[in-house]
Amino acid sequence: MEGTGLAELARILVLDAGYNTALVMAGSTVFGVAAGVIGCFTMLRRRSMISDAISHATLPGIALAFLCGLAVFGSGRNIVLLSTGAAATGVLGILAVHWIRERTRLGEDAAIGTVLSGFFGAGVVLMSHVQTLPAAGQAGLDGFLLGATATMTADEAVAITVASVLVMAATLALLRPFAAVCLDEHHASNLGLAVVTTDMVMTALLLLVVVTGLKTVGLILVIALVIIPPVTARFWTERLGVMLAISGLVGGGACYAGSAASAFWPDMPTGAVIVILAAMACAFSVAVAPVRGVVSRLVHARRFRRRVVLRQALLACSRGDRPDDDALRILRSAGLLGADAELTMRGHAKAAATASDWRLWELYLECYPERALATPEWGSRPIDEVLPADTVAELRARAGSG
Amino acid sequence: MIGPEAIPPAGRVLSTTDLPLYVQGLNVAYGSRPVLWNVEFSATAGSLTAVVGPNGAGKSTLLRAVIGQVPRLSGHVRVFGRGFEPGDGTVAYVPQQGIVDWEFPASALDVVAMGLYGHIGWFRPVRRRHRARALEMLDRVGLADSAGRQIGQLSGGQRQRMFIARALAQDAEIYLLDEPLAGVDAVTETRIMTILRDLADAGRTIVAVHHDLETLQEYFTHALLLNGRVVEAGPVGGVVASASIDRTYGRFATAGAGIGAG
Repeated sequence: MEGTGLAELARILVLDAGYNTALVMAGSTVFGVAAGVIGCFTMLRRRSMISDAISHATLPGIALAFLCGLAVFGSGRNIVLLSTGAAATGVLGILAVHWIRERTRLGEDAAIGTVLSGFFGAGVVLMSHVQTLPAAGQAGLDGFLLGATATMTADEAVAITVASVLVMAATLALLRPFAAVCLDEHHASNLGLAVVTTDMVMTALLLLVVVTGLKTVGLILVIALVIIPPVTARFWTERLGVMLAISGLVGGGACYAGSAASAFWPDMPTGAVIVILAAMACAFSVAVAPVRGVVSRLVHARRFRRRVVLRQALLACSRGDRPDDDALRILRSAGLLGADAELTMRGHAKAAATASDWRLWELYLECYPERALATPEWGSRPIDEVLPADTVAELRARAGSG
Repeated sequence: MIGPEAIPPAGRVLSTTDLPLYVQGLNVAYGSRPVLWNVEFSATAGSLTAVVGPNGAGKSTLLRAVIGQVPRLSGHVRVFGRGFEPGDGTVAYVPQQGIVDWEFPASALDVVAMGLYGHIGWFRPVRRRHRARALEMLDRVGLADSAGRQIGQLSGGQRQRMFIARALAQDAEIYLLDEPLAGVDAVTETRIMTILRDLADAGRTIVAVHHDLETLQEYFTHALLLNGRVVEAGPVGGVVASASIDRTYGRFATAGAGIGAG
């Protein structure tokens, strides 16, 4: 039993568990990548939370579309119809947030909270009405709340794939306008870019991703897929291109694994599994990412403090002052202080070297204060490790001629 | 060069209990960019000290490090010989404009009354006499007429004076002000400096970030020249007379003149 279970899981993972399952997993994965990519820009534009308003605003649309379908075609379960309904009230939600932000003195957070809960409340009322109907097919509607890839049909998977590829292609095509607006909208506008239109396109792509993701992650958690992957990616890189790639990878990876889990355990809410996986990737990155990770920063801060105190202790010694106890301890642990509380030979040499290095730093501060003060690690390292050789040479020349 | 006899015994350095403010070996960094390097300075009672230096010199950081709003890498701050305790009312701090939520539903009087929270306590009501005192402070800065206005409706100069009234309400010994004269008109500037001078005359200690070198000598008794480290500190006359201001702002470098021996 155990063995066949594992074999089944393996078949699911290599997309060999039937045409439908493979299609659903492929669709979910592509969706995850698209969410991660557009999510980078909404995060950089500080608009991430708007996606939560959008997703919750889709619920009344889904219910209304279902009711319309029921009245007109006799069945409401059609992905295109439901998505259209979802998008329609999603747009209303966006407009409502925009209106509150522009016309009142409330902040965007208050606007989003108000719209989100208002639309969601309306959606829940409509949904409970739908549940009382004897019509077939409303059972699947639950899946829109928390995501259920197990009940996804092949047609739905294809629709999701197509929409996701569209979003990705559009985002990559609009890379430069998006980046320009996120970085400096005034400059972008100066270059002739229509900032408002760019923002609208960005929001439209976000809307498309949210609607696309309803079936996969569900509307309650779809926000996680446009926030967590970019946040995770940001820990690993300082470059936009790399960030987009990592974010897409995290989003796609989480959706791939989550929909596989859902195929294996059909009762699991897919969205929750996907979000947990993405959150784990995020937690891992927060902890151990180089440079930006918590551990790395702690280690770095400790080393930096020690370096600064050590240098100042050496400078104090070279002036004939007594360093304080903390500094003496660091001097001792660096092997520069003998048992008799006297600098060792190496300590003397180091103190003299530090003093002459510090004279150059002081000169740099005096010559180019604003540049010097903006230099990372100024004063805390030997000057030729930090500044370019020609600058150091200039300072040496000035020091000599002075 | 450094023998045991050259290292004086510990404890000799600090005989600073009389000094209102004494900062020693203060190091502050943002990430791995040092902002304050081994800063040492003191301020005496009744002095008006200007903190002067180019952009990014760490002037605001110095004030915020003194009151513990910015973590220190190392170093000590002594207020009357003791460590700084937030909330004990000895030190009043007037931040730069713009850090406040100007949409906040509060009147100028409410804000000034907050200066009294240290005396009133967090959980006891603000009584009529407290409000009367807050109004008195607003009057001192010439803002009594605007006491009931929502803070967002005050002009730049009025906002600055409101903050000063809030600090006055604290009745502190030491006043730290971050650019109190930024963006205020000439009349307000004179008014603010008169208030600060009165405080100093009453034996309080004033430390203010200041930008205008023209008025440095007229307004202040002492100056602290800062660019990452202390370039010079002392009575304002001596500081202005020395070449230290140029060494702080790096003017000679842009003027192309030679560098004097450091």
